[in-house]
Amino acid sequence: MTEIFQICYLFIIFCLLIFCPINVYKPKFISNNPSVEINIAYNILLNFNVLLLLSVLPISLSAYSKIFILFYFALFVYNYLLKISFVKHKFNELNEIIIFFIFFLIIAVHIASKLNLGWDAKWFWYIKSLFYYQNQTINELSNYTFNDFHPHLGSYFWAFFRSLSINEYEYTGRLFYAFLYLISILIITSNIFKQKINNLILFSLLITITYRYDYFSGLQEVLIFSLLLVVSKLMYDLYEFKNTKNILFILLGLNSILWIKSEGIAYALIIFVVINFYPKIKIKSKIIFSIIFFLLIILKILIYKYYQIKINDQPYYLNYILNLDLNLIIYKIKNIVIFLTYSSLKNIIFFITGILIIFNFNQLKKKNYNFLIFICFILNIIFIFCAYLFRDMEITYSLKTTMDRIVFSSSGLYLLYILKFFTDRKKSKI
Amino acid sequence: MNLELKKQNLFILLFIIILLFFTNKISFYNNLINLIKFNEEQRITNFYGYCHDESIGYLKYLKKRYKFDNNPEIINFRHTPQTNWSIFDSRKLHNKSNEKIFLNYPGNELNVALEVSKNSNYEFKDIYYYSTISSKIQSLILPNNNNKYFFLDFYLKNKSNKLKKIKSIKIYNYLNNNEYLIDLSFDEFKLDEKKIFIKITDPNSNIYLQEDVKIKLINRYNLENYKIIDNFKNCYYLKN
Repeated sequence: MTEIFQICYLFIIFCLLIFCPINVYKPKFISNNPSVEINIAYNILLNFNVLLLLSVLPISLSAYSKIFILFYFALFVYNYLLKISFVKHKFNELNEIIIFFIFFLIIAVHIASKLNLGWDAKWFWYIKSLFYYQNQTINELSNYTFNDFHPHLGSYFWAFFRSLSINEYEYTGRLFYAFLYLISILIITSNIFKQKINNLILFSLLITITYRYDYFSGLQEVLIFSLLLVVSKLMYDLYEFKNTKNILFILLGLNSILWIKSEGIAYALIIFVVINFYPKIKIKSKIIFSIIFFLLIILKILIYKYYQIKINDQPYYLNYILNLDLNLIIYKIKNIVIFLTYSSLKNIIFFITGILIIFNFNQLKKKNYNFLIFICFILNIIFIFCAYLFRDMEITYSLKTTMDRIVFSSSGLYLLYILKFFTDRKKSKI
Repeated sequence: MNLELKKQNLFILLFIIILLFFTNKISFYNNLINLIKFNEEQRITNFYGYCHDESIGYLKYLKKRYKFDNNPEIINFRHTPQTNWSIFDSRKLHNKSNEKIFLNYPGNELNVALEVSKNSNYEFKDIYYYSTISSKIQSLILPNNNNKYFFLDFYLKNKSNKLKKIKSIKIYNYLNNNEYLIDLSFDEFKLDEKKIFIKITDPNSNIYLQEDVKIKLINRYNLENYKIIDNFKNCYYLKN
């Protein structure tokens, strides 16, 4: 029973990160967006970047993790509990909170009961989290042989939330991944239908369709998937309502993605290109966006240089790429197509996106939201092909072990598009 | 108003159906019982085994009992994912270790079954892993035959999925059983993630293709060279 109590306690801790620092009901300063889910998205992205900053400082976790959460608790009390408006909102959104908690509890119990870690989690993700959990810093982490494959932010979250739990079991850190996955799906479903109950059914349905334990076995794809969902919501909001403040938060989202997995750079670049194709944004805003985006990449490189971490330790070599022969290219392409098709059929989101793009092909000239998703999808496919074509690794082994995960993380970009497509069609019929 | 209420009830019913389906999909009630009935340590042992497969139960026991001042080297004689995560201590990363943990220790020899693959070959699966725990390929066990010798061709699958012959040898029966001497060091093969296939041909050039073919390897690690500190079944905690 202690573990069930711990799950409930962690749920409250995680909630602090979506309700603070911005008051999601009465935002001031940074955001003045009236939409609760957008403000929650802002909070997530802000907090991810605050935690990222803390993770690259040479300060051990125990020195600040509890102070950090106490500060957020105080902020929560000040922002909400001392204001009468919260009580009103709280009762308005009680259904959502209860349903959200039920799903969190079910998934958390599954994670706590199964305890299985994925292959890569055992190789490096969990070990990297142990560095932080055992009060080492990025400085010591840079001495670890397998550190160079991927960045550390996901492992840092694992350690950070584990250190805040009561009995500090390994899985407690991973519960945050489940929380993020659920909240990101809630964010994109909360405004699809007019009636809240319909949105909640959609939320439940999406969880039922997309949930798999493997995603929470310490692998990082679920973080990318969830962040892409959040960013896609901001991108849609930016397109539809020209809310230019979203650009800043999209940048924060891209920065987080850059620090979670090596392929994060590919997703970040895809979104960067798509934002530059946005028809309704001023050139000046696009230039500022582009400059900050490249500065974030440069900043990451500088931090890596400072801590003497290799910028890329993935098996991609210029010499290998230049010496690829035609037979090998054909053999690789054949296999990529087979595995991509198979994984897309397994992960229905990616498959449906492809079908919808073909279905809407004649609308692409209009340079509307369809067009932007089309660019996104094409760049995504190009990225998948390049990632395997240029990788110096046995192709079938590589595809068997990773294609499913790449398709899953990529699909975060398209879920909102699919939902919007079906609801907009329904509305236009009415 | 009545219609609206009916609609809302219908949605609530739909939500309950989805919830029941989801809880059933992930066996929520079994998970809950598992969580209440067993503590974390027991659940880990139930899942990963105490001294079989990944043997995380034994590793956790050793860590608790001996409070290592370094990260002992773990050698698992069963091919499983990495196991050192269960006892890894980042604060002792640079501490030198003369301690080893053997999991599923098979003795001085290991018998590995070869799998019949397409193209009338046998595949020596996970050869890279076996090269890390054994020093050489000792012999081949070919049941149901009376031949004095066989021809063995080793093939390597390249990145374009094509087989390339890398070595041919003749192997002789010795001790008058079904065992044929190979005596090849793993250093003869350049191994990483490549796949190795073996074609076996008898003196009449017929391809030998039967089940239960095994390859015998000599263990790189001999227990006699170590001092045993702790032991449970085939799992050992040792010092040099």
